[in-house]
Amino acid sequence: MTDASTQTQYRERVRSLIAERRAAGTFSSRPDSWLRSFDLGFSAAMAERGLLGLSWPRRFGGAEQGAVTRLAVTEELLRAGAPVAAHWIGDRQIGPSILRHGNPQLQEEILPGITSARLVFCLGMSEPDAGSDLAAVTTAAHRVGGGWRLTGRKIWTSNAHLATHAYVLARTDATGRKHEGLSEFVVDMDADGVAVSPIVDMSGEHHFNEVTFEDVFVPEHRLIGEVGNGWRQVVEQLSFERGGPERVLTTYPLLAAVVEGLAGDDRHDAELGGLIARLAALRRLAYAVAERIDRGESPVEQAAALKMLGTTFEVDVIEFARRAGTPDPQTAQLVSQSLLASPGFSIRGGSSEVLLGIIAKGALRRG
Amino acid sequence: MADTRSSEFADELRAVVQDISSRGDAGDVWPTLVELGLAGVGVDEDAGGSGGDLVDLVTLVGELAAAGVSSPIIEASVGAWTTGRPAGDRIASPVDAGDVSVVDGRVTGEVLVRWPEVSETLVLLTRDGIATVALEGPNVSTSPWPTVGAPMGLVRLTGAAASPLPAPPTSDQVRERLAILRSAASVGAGRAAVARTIDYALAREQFGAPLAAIPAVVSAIGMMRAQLDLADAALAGALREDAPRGAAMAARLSAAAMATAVARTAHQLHGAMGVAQEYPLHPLTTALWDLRDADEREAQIARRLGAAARAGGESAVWEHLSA
Repeated sequence: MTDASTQTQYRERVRSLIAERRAAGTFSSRPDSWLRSFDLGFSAAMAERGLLGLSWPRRFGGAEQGAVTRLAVTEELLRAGAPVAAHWIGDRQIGPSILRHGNPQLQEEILPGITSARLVFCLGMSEPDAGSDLAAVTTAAHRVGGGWRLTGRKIWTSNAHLATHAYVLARTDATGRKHEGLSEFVVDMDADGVAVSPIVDMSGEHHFNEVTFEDVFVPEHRLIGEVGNGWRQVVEQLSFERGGPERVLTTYPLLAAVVEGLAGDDRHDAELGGLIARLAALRRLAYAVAERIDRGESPVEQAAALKMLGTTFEVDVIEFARRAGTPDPQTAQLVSQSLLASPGFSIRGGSSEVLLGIIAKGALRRG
Repeated sequence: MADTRSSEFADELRAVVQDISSRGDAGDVWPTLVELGLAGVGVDEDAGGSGGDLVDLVTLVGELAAAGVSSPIIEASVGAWTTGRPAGDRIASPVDAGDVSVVDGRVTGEVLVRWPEVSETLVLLTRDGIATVALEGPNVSTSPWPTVGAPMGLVRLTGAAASPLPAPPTSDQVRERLAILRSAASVGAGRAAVARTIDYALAREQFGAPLAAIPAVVSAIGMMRAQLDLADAALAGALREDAPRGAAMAARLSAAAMATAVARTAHQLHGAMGVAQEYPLHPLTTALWDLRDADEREAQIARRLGAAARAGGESAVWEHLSA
């Protein structure tokens, strides 16, 4: 159980890191920073202050704190629009997955690399024919001496062009049901046969990529968990991925700017009050998810609800800014950045339509 | 989760509430609740109450609402907590009267009171602090006010005698307690409405399959469930010991938004059956509609919260209003 004073201490640590970098002129703030704002220097500074791998064992560079403490830290980072993209994927989900399922050699090799911000991870999940239907992946891995050979194509792989490693979901058995032949691997991005080509998005920014694997050798220890257990393992990962504050706070820097600019204009008080209440409720729901994770539970439906409602909130903030924001270039920039990023909010990490189904099926099952 | 502080206590309460609500036509359930000591939950025993804290009261209010029992439990309990006088068959009813002033010990204005037949005292949250007014006194007249859910009356005060009630609690503290309890009742009624709707969608067949096989029905159920989870989380947030300033208002507004969504969707998915007087959906949905604007209107609370955000800036929003 994380007490309030521990949370406060960690929040202060983040705030002072940000304040220092602001003072030094090395801090950049923007909406959707956890995807688009890649800064190895910032991630290294986080590592120096013991802010990565917070819930992991100390022997891997962690701080043995809970998910609730990590929530306090990530909230403060996203509040400030901090450039956290370089360490985000490793810290949020790959590290925890390797901790739960990885063999000791893999843990020793990868986890300290994440907590020291030396390793950068990208997610090799979606494929041209497998988006919402993730189990339909056809990237295949077959056994060879000493490991595996991996062949296939991944798409929408954010920051693959900057990553040192890829998490890859691949099919190791195509004979049975599609959910049963999947396995998870950690692959070196500089291995022979790995090629990355950019996909520029509608904002003109490059974070998406297509990654092809052509007969890439993957050593045996780089298999995460068990062969054929990939689906169960990845579903668990998705709980971590969906249940965090990055599903609520993507456009917080814009909301902050609008609030600061309102001054005596009381015409929008009711709408603002409604948004603040939603923000409060969503932050509390994220907290409830983190608490359950700390209790060892898998809050799949709550995490789905948080993401589905949170991403709606993120977009409603933009609409509010249109109505109530002051007409200055800074706000206009924040609105533009947010708008161009916004179609992705309710699609990435589980589209809202799919999430609604997950929530409903859970409710109908218990009914 | 907000509603299960001690599941044994909740289980006991649920059994008591089930027993009460199964006594056929609700009729006059209030005297029974008083007799069972439930009206005194959340008020110290040495103040004439039954003991227990706010979380116990939240559990009670939630269970009563989930069972579709309509009663002045919130008014009575908050009235007793505010005045220090235990609730009985007749109660002291809190009324948010922010635009009424007390001048030379007298008040003039019009206010809406819930459960007028059961109320003997108004506990007015006025511009000048809390003051009590006897409903049966001179210069006070009450007439019926149309509403859904709890019965209401319009009270005309023309220089009625008002006795000031010194703090504690303050008007804001009373508002906060009311907000939390209204949220608890909404979440209880919402939970029951969603459960009943899911049962119906699983049982009712059309086109050769349960309604639950229809994709649009699945989406609607998912949305109701998500809104309920959100309102529940907000309520749990308001019940924290160190709950920040905005937590009660946020819970109240989350509950109201959920109430609108759940009432609408529950009726929609029930089809015609849901509007029949005999079918037990309308006690839940009318309560949900009613609770949104009880004490203070949803829109008014939203304006207050927005004004506080504007006045305090981003740091107030982050630390106090949405924490």
